[in-house]
Amino acid sequence: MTSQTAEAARASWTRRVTRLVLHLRARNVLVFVIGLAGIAVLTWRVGEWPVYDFGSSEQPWPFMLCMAPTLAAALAAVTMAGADEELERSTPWPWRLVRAMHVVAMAAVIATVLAVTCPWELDGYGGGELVRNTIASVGIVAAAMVVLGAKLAWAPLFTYMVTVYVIVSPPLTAGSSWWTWPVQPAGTPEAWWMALSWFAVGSAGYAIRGARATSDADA
Amino acid sequence: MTRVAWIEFRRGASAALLATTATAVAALLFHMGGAEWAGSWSGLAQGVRESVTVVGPITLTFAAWHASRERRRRIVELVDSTSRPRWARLLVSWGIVAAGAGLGLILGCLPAAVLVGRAATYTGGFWWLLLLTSLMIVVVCAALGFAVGRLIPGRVTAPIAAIVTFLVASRAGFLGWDLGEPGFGEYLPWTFQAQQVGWFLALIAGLLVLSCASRRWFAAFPAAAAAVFALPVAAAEPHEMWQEDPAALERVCAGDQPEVCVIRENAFVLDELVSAADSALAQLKTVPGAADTTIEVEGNHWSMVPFSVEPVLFKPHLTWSGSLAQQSSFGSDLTSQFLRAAVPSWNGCDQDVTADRLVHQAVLRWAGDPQFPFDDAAEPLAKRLKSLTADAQRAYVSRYLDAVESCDARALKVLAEELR
Repeated sequence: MTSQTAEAARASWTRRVTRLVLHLRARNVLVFVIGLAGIAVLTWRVGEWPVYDFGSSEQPWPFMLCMAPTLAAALAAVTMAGADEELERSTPWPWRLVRAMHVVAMAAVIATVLAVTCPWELDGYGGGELVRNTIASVGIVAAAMVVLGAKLAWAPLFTYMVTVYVIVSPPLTAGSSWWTWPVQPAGTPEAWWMALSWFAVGSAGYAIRGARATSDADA
Repeated sequence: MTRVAWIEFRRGASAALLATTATAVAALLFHMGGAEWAGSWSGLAQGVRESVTVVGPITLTFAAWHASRERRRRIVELVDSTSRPRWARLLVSWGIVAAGAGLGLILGCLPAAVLVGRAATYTGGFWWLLLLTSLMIVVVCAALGFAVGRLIPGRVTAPIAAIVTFLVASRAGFLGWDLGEPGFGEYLPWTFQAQQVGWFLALIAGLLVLSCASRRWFAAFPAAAAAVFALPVAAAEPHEMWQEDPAALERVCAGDQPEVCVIRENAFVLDELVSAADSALAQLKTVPGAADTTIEVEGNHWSMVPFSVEPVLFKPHLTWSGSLAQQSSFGSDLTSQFLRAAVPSWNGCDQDVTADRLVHQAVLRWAGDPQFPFDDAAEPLAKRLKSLTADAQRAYVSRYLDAVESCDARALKVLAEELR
């Protein structure tokens, strides 16, 4: 009886692992891992490149401060919707729990990788800012998944980050943290609150509603 | 064909690209401020060229997205089975995207162009070639994005390609994006710009062959042509390509006591400068001969301006419409600048004259400089000067100006003692 119970437990565990591997494969997690590695290398190599100046003002914050979390979150969006959303939801899986864990895991992995591989402290910007921006970026992408679906989930975040990077000029005013949070130093509490708010709203919406079902099925 | 083009425009990314490009160019131009382009066609062309740094990757993003739609929807074979040749269909598709981007660029700089058109007085310098090459860069980005979208379809290909392009272009300065900062009255010779046009045209042809042709090796021909044009463009140091335009540097003066001189490229603001100088020097004019001076403005050729003279910086005071604001964005005041230009200090003397700088500040304060004194210790001296009778004040200032002009150290010392 004991050996039968142990065997049943082993079989159940094997089924769960197999299911997880299949799920990860269906969600193109390998593409995400390879892409994240490329982004980490890019951030490490070009993080200290001089930034481009527009007009008479020079942007003092590193380009990858905004773009590395944006790229990583866009890659994460690839994994946040399957080939057929409606078909997936018809299966007896606790999808809300799975999605919640998925978005938290994405944020944690990306933030860790970027913070660890970021060697630069350029004008006071470094790993702390990357972690904050990653958390916010994943939240925004998750929220966009609910509204726009998988194919264009990267677009609002990309547009926002490019706009902030180009338009915001020093000095950073105290009251502007609510929208200039991507370029605020890590010691700014308001910027962290905005990032966490985005993450909370986005991850809650994505966990509950999932990605909007669209006809675009390619990764 | 018109119907096909209209459907492509409506159903593709072109409409959104047009709106985004126009908004981005307009926003960037007005964000740069009047100091960059107000009253100057060359300045406007240079500003549009700088905005292409952002607009180019945006165009690339939309083009890559537009080009990958067939693969994303898995209808490539279905569309290829129609009677129209693939290259014709894709060429129209690319053309609509490129037209959307180009039109967006033109519409975006239209408001600024209207303002410049109303103020500018000098139209030389091949500025229109600079605008043309900026337009071509956007079209090249449309072709590059189209090729990337066709060859590497995917959800996140577009933003990744855009970011990588921005990084490479801003670092390597390829495509001739980085032209450096021109000085006043400088232009890019048409030969260099023609080389850039050739390089861009060959690049567009090569990228389109890669995207649209079934035999991709045809791209080798435009690629070879691109390499021929690219070599002189890549070898050229853009910062050294700018040349002086004698017509733009021609000296133009107006006004009397004081006389204000600018270069022809800046002549659009001469009348306002003369008017501002007149009111700034109103108090100084009460001293006979004190305002009989020539005020040099920034941009005036170095060969005509003594090195000790401090030119008036007017660019930070320019508004979008090309008129002058009293205060600049970083706080300098026009009146203060004119007074400092008209009331020289002893720094222009060849010999070492160590007169009291506080006297200079006191005289400027007397003349009405709102920004002096830098040194609080000059305030009592200025009050003592003001406490003299009107005639005595004017006589003192006249003696000061004479002493500085003749670099008379002894006279300056006496003047300093009188106010202590």
